[in-house]
Amino acid sequence: MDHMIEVKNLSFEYDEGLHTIDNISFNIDKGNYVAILGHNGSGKSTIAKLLIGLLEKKSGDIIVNGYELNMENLYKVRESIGIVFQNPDNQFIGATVRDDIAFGLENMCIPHEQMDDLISTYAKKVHMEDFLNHEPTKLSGGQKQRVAIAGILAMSPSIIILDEATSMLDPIGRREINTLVRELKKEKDMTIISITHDIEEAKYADQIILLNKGKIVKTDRAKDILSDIDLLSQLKLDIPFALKITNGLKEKGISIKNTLDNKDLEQQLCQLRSKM
Amino acid sequence: MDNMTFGKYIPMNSIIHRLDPRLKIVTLFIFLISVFFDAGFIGYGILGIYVLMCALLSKIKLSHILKAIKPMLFMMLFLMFFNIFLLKTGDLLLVLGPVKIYSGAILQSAYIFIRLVLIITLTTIMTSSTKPLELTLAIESLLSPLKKVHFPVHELAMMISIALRFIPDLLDEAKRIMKAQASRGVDFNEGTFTEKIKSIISLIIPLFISAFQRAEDLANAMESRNYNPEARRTRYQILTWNLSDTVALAVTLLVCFVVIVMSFLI
Amino acid sequence: MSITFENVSHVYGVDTPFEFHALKNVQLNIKNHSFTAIIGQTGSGKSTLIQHINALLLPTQGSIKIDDYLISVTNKPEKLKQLRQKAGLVFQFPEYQLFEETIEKDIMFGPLNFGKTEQEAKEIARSMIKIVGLDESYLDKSPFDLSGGQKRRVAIAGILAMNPDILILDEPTAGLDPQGTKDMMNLFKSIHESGKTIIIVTHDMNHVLEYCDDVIVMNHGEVERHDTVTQIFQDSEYLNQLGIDLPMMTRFILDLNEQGYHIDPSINCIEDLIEAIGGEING
Repeated sequence: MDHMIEVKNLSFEYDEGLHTIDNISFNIDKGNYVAILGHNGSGKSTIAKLLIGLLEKKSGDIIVNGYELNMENLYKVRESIGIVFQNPDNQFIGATVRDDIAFGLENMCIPHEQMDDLISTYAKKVHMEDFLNHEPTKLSGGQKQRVAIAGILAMSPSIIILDEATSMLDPIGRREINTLVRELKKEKDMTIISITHDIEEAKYADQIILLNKGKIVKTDRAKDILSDIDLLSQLKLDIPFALKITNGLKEKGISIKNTLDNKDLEQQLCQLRSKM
Repeated sequence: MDNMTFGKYIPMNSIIHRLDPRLKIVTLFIFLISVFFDAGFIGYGILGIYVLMCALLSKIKLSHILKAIKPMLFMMLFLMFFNIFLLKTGDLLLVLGPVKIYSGAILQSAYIFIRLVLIITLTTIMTSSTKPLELTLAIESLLSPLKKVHFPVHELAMMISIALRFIPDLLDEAKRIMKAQASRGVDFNEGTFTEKIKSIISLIIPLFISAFQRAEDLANAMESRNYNPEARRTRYQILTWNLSDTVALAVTLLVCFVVIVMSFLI
Repeated sequence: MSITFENVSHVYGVDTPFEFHALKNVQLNIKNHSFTAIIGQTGSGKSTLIQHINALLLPTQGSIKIDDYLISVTNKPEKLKQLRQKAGLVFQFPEYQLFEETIEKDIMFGPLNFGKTEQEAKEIARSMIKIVGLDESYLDKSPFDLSGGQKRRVAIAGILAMNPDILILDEPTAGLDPQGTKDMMNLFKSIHESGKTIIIVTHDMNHVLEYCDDVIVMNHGEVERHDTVTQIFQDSEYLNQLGIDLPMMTRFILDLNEQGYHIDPSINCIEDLIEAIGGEING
């Protein structure tokens, strides 16, 4: 098997004639961390719902983990993909943390005797082992999203999609989730797709798929896409802070290398200063 | 809405809390029947002792039970009032102009009062000592024979448990919308009839929109976690029937049997 | 209109097992025409604090003075409604308060509640829709056909339509994309420049640095600091301990200064920063 996800000539429309997704094709390799980047309304979240079969494509093919997505394979595909949605409250199904993690296990027909072990293992993985009996109203947004991740991990998918999973969280919650995702990334074989408009988060991706008006504008290494100031500003996306500085300095005739990383920029600037 | 005590689960570690929720539902049902058999004050005394034992064993504070009875007090007095003036059995005790009060009427009214207090107390003990989730499981388990006639027992149970899960969230949402509209000059307490209608619309429509949004999100989350109501699922929460449940059932049956037999002997 | 909190406390669920002290002895004076940020962790009392300003919540102790209005435990001001008109409160995700069939009617709702005539309210709606960056053609549309960001603009127009002197915003940019966020913050900036007091609850320190004058730091229901933006961001250790990051720019300047640069840490726009760095490198 070559790719974890293969998308060929995929189109989708909510309303007749209005292409929400317009003939897009892309591949995602096993173990990669991919960011799908675009402003609100560019079609990013629609792609996630198509991949997991919550929306029905108009045309094109989707192949996930070797299974072509169709009615017959729907549940096989869903077993391969776990998805964390934007709103922490509306995806908490169980009465307590414990029951919420169990929900997916019940659907997978995991025997009752194995559930408690799985629940505590994956609760530990997201650092929620002390909250197993808590009700959702007593948890913060970040904690609820961590429970959502545990619920998904317990179903041992090959792919995790984060559909703007941090956009409704406060900075502490956001940090919790981003750290957790980076921990998961270290586990080989896990393919992670992050749907976001946060440039500072997308920096950590291996690959970026840049989306606008339902079309792929560009797909490339994160470094190359995030260094393309003209493209980013044309699509009304943020420009990484470090890049803004190097760009401004270049205009002043100072020779400096483009970078996305603030620490790297600091080093360069210190060297420049000591040269004087 | 904040001080709703009736029906709220109070986490505690007691024998009653640990009993099988199916037993509790069945017990309540049997009790409801036997309480309507008139076995005189001795019969109600026996049932009263039974309820008192349940209350003591559940470790639930008396004040909590009284709080649950308080809102019903008006209804109980109302019923008693009618009975006293309308029933004409037993001896004539008192004549107040056109109104005649009979001894039988007083007795009946007292019985009604006692019955209602007993029922409310036992129901409160049950809801305070049983998690909503357990009640749902018990309902599903007790109704499971209906699956044979294709009654969607599992779906019903899932619906109840999701409704229970989202009630606090929707209450919060309603409070938030009321405040947001109050900030736009809505007065939910005063105003003319048309103003009141408008205020209610300004609350109801956003609340519905938000509820539908939640429903859609939740359905997506459930489906993406491979939920298929028609497929076989294993269960995490399993109800287990213990010896203590059998004992409790036996005691209940015995008490109710005695009361019912007494009612025929009197 | 200046806002003064005198020893204000607020307790939720008094005498129940759920009793919670959301505000503790808050002393505060928010200056007229300021652009003030309220920062602090989730649950530190920010939302409770702002709901006292338009008397949605009444203090359980202490009093609040806003111009001639006095709100206290016993004194629920008779002209509560007028106060709500003067202090406009925009809740988080305000798009959820839309309910009329057309955008025009929804914007008119506030002014009509505050005694404007139909005609006056219509004119207000027409000017407000433009202020929030949409054109008049939107007025006849249903608010539910709009995108998330546009809905929010309409909801904010509905508050601005009451012509409040104080505009209070609870995380107004949550969930918006970068461009939507920028447009929204610039809208508040221009409203501020038109002479209104702005109070904004936010988690985004970059916004605080770029747009605000003053900062109120809340922690466990107490107002711990109330100072200028520059002063607050000088104490990175204190903020760190509250789990609050410095704005990216301030953090960067401080790091550079540690390594020999001498850049003014109060710089709040990228052009000035590039100018300052360039100046040091080029001597």
